Amino acid sequence: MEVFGNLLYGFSIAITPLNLAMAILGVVLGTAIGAMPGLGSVNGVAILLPITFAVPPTAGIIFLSAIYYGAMYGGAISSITLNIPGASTAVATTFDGYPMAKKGRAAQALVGAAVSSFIGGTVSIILFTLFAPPLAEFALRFGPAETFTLMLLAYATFAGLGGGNPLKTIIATLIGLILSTVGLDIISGRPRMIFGDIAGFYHGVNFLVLAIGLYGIGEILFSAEERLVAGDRVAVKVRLRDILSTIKEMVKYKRAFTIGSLLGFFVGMLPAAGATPASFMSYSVVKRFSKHPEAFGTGTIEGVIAPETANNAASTGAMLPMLTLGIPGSPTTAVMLGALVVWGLLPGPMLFIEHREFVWGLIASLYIANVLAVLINLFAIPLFTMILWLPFTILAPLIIVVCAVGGYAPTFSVFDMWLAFIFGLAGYVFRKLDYPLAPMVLALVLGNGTEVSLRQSLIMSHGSISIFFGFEGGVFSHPIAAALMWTSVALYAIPVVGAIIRHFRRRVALAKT
Amino acid sequence: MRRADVALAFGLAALAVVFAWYAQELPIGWVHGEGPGGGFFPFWLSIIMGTVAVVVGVQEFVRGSAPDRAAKRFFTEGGLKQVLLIAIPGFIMVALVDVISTYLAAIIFLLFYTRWIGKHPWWISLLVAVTVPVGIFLLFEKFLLIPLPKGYLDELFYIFY
Repeated sequence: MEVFGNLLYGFSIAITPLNLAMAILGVVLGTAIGAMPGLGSVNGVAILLPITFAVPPTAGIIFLSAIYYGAMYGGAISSITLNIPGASTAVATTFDGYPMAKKGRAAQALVGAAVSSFIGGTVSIILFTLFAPPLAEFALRFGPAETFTLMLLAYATFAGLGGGNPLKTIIATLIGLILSTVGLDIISGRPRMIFGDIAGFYHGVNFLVLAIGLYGIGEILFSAEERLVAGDRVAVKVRLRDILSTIKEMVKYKRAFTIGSLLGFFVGMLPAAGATPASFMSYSVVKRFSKHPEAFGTGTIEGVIAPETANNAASTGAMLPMLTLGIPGSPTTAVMLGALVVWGLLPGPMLFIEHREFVWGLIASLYIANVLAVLINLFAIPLFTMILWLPFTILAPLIIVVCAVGGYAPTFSVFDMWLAFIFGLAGYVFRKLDYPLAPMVLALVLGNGTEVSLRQSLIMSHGSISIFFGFEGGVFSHPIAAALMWTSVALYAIPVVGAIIRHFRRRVALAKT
Repeated sequence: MRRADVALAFGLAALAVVFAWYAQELPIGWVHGEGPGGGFFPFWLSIIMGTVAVVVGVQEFVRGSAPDRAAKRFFTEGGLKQVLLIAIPGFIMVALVDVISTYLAAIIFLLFYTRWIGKHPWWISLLVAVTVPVGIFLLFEKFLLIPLPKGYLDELFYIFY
């Protein structure tokens, strides 16, 4: 039982005063950010990332994952009391959470959300602990061909499963990849893509500048325009009695918890999916298997359990591929992966060997962060609802200032401050016209690895792309690469096949009339 | 919405041409003894990006004629004003960073937005405009040891160290 030894070792790291303090700070800040309408975990992690420059990487990642967790808890607060989702991950929580609050059961809904989040998160961490070491060991055998096809698969999931126009997804991915080539060519060392001779581009486009631009500044511009319409504010008081009675009530919904946790974990692992679709899927699946499907939407606690269990489970699930394969499972983990690079760590399976303290410290801290989050949430809900009183006209300029400073911090360059604002404007336009932002950030973070593995593979195969389909020198020697490649091809084909089927159906329908 | 959709798609296609132009400054083909050249990856990605963007542009042009899509406006009612009211002061703040220091620029920006756009009372505006920069100063200069740009006012900040 090597896992237990490692986990114990991890706890010994996670409970050191600095790491514990970072976890508490992260959970509190994360819950506050999650509770603010419009801002979610990805915004929180991107905006607060510069703080981690002051601490060692282990404390840094503990801080970021605590924010991630906290935001998942916090998102439910404004969903339930205001009918405004605190983050996209909490949209499904409004379906039954707000009706419950209207019926005078706001306390029950909030307690239900917190307890569900705790259960979803904990089940998911246990799965994570069991799955991570074997997956990392498997990934250790990956060569350049496997690495490249794996990254291609990550991009393909966005086009195949991401919804929306797949061509726009492809454009977003390509922009991220092209931005990653700005600066010095990693192999020949020569400057490239510096657009004439612009000095600010020599150090490349820092991913944090893009993340802060898109998720910080762009988000504020977007919310400045979208006037969020709040329902009637519901006053909340949570007493110990409410907590106990709600937990008693929730015991009979074991099936909702099981579906939410498992669905969340596995959906969360997929790069394109993450917590938002996981929460929607869980809501509809739990509704289908519920004894009282008619109660959904009118304010049943089962309708709060389903999405809240799933979104927390998914956020842990998304960390599994990030840590073991170096492929983030959600926008937030993409930003976290970029942070790893900034701290000088090489994401991927080697972390499990070279940085045991980092990996196991993080895993243990997830257990701790989850306990902290549920306690802080149950006893400080009224405090967090006060954050909702903070008006946009104070929050917005505050975040803009923090973003400007955050754009400067990683590179010490005012040029990057400008760049962050330009990315902010671009992100705003992209969001309005349905170009997805997540693949762009993911592609910028993974771009270097993608290019290096592509070029190394081509050198190995003397310029033949057959290596990605498993063949090297005419011999089938890379089965994993072949499997990953064909899956990517299939994912890119899904939208095309779908469009063809729709086209023929329409023609059949027209012929009938 | 249709005009914006089509314009962005063709704008991105043009951007892809710019990318491709700068990418081919390094070899885009096979370099003997080195494998694919430094321009190989960005160049071919730009070519794909340009092609896909043109397809999207044509797609939006055809699809955009559907009444539900054509009627939708890019900006919501009064939305442009709200966006510009935060974007322009934001850009001005960044422009001032290298002149009157990050802190003074932030104070002016925060005061302007909370007082004139947000219409908050003076004491709230002042509270926000002072505590935020002070907090940033403590976090970055003292805790993170990252000096932020101070423009021509560099010497004024000596007293704070």
